[in-house]
Amino acid sequence: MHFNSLKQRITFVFLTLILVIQFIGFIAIRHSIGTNARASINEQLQVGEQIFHNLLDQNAQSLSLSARILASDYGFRQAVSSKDIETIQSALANHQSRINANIAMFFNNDGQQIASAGEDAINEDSSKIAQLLINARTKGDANEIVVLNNRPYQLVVVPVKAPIVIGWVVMGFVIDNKLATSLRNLTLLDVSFLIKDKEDGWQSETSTLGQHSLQKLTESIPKTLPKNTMNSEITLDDSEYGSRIVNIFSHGNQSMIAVLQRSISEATKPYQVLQLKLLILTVLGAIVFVIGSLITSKRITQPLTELAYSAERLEQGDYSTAVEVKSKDEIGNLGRALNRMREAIAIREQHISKLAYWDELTDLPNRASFIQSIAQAIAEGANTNKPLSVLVMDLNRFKQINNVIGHKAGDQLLKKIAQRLKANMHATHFQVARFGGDEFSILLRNTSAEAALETAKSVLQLLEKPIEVNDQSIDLTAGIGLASYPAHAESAELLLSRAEMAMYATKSSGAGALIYDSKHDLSSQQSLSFSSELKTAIETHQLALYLQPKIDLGTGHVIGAEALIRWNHPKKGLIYPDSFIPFAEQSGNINKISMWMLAEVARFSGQWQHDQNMQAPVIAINLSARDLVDHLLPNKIQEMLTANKLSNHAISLEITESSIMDDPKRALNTLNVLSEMGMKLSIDDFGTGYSSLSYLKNLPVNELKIDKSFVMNMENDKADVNIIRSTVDLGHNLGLKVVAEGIENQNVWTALENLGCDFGQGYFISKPMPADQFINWLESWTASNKKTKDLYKNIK
Amino acid sequence: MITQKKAFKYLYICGVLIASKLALAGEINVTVTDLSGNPLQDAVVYAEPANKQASGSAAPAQIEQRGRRFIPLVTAIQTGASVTFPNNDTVRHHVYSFSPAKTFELKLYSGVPAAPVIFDKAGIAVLGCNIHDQMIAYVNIVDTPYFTKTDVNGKAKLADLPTGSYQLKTWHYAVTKENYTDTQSIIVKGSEQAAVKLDIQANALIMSK
Repeated sequence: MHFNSLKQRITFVFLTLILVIQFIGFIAIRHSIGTNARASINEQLQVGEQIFHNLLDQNAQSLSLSARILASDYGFRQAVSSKDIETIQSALANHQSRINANIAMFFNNDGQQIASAGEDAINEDSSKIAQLLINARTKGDANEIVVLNNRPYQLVVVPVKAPIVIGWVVMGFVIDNKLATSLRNLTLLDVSFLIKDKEDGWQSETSTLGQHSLQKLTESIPKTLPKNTMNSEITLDDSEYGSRIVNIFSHGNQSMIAVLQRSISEATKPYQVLQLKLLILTVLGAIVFVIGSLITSKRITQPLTELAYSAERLEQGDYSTAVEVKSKDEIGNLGRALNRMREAIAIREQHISKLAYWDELTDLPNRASFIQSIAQAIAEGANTNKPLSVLVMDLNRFKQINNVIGHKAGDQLLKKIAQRLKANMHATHFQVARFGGDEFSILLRNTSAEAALETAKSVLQLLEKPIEVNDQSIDLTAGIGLASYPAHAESAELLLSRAEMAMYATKSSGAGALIYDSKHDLSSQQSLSFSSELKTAIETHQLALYLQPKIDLGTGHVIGAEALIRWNHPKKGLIYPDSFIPFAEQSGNINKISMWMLAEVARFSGQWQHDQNMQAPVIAINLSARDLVDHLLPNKIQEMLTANKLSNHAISLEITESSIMDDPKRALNTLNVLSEMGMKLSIDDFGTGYSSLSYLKNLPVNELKIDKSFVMNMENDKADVNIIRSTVDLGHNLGLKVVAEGIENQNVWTALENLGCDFGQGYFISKPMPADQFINWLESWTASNKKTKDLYKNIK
Repeated sequence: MITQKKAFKYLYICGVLIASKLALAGEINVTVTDLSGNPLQDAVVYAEPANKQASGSAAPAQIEQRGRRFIPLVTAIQTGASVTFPNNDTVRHHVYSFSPAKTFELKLYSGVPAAPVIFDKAGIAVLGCNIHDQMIAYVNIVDTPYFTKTDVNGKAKLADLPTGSYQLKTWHYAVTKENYTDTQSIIVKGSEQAAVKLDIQANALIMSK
């Protein structure tokens, strides 16, 4: 059964219990009442039979006494002797009326009726009287019940002696309703007298029962009676009667019985009243119980309902309303727990919503919150018709920095950047946010794109000052993109995403800050498609191997080349690796590109070796972090070299500091194997990463490549010169060769040479060129190098 | 009156004596039994001569009342005999008879009633006491001087009978058929034997003390 409320359930369960108990009690009481009533009826019937017999005996005695008085009366005897019929008659009548007998008769000794008094018309049954007299003569007197004219009579016969028997006095009562009624008054039993003649059924005219019930009774008594008088139950007119059949006589064809009966329903009537009272009590009890249990359950459930309401309030976000707690019981405990929960949830929600709109680390608004601010600013700007701008700044190489200095320090760095931004911004209406990672954003109200670009530049300048984290000074660069309302977008989201596109464009082009341009949109879309197109690019030979020569700064001799890649896109033309290598690294295609490079270089060198019949210059191939964690890489390289009949010295490998940091253990393992195979290893972009010198010590490297950012600036910046010098010294002290990248003029070359730098590469020597042009260039370089060298020597 | 009666008595005795001396005397020994052969006491046996002759004077009898009983129970008398009813009890008795042979009533008395009752008609009279229902006495009044009662063995002897033919009659108060008297013819020559069987109502027998 389903209940919608606890109240109903409690009430139902207990009400059911009480009703079941009452019902069982009722059944038990009813059963024992029935049993007791029947037992007492049986007793009554037995007693009733005795009383019935006693009554008959009393009647007989009364009759007998009267008859005997008459019979012994001297005068009566004299009258009989003298056959004085008239006197006899009057004497009979006198005695008959004295005891209210129904019949009084006198018979002479021959059995002739001499006189009678009382009821007449019994002559026709003289045979029965004769028989009665014969019986009396045999026994001296008689007391029998005889049916005369269909009416039962209790007859007493006494002799008239003078002193021998001279006649018989017969006196009798009729057995009629009067007797039955008096018997009923004595015994409370219904009495019926039934007579049966021959094979006819039972008949009765004498009964305390109603006519209809009597009729039923005569039908239900079997013609042949059971031998033993037994109490039985007879149903008459829908009511049961405990019945006892008393044999009165059975002679010849005629039988007579008395049926004593007690109505069971009548006997149980007092108990029915009791039962009714019990029922009323049960109903009253149930009502009281229902009310009581309703009140009790209400007392239980009302606080529950109130608690449920409180929980609903909590659900709706109302944490301010306290849950009312009155009781000290379990429900009170629940309420108190709910209250504690409410407070805890309120605090936590506050915290969560802060998290949702706030950046914990830098204590700046996050992206979601920032977008709301932008939207609000746009709404204001729309009203005031004033522009606003959004800057998005992303730190360069933050990942590498993070890897080197550790995440905790990285977080410290981000915090400091945030502090610096907040502290040093001079624009009046601005708001700084952090989008996660190393991306910051600044909202500038009432600022056009052009003004914002100035701000962006000042931000970049702010970052130029190194930041100290854990006693480490860190140089930072960043790319900033900016977009303005209403020039570039009308919605907050679009404005922000366009500023981000501009930022990506800034980062890929190397420019410090850019205003959004619609072409940025295009290029960013391109970037996305690159990764999928790269696969087909490899298969359809859209990639091309380029080489940039590497020379000995002292002699100008070409000592090798760096292998570079270009993408001849069928639609977009030549694409530089900066535009697709980052995506290849992200999408995992970098391995394929590296393999392509290795195969291409091996093929090129094999061809060279075959055509020129001499060893090709050592070609350096860049490996990514993903390549270094591939423990099959040495095998693959070995296979390619062997296939092209190349020695292991034909190629060298360039790795960046950061590529080792992803999984230094495996990377070091791979590098050791490659080094043992005889391949030379260079650290690319040395100086931009944050590798510790202890790593450098353990790495099996042969060469350091100084990043071109130091080289290109060395003419203007003394610091860069010092960095290069110390790097060269460091390299040499560790037994390594030092290569400078980005040599763009003779002065730099000379300066580097003077600083002791071993090798160099750069536009001044040669731009990267398609591999098949390399041999021609080499020939012309060798020739001009001699001339230049000579010229230079001459100048010197 | 007494002297006169005595005188009759003496006459009678003398007469009998004379008669017996005159005629040849015979006797009848009668045995009375019931149907099963049990001897019946108190059966009245009397013989009526074929040629009826005027009988002599009847001898008086006495039925006393003692212990609320009539003694004897059965009395045989000749017609005309007088019977006295001396009351030897301390209580009074009211002797009556409604029998047609003799209806009389001796109202409550004690001692000897003034006058004896004369039974002048042959027949059987049943005597009772109105005070004591159980008291009963039978008087058989016969028209012959030859009568007697059976003893406890059912034996009776009619002696000194003149020879001749007689009707031998036997009556017992308990006969089944009321007032039945057994009659048989008998010729008395000397000592005759007679056996009488009566249908008796055994429960009507009154045991005499």
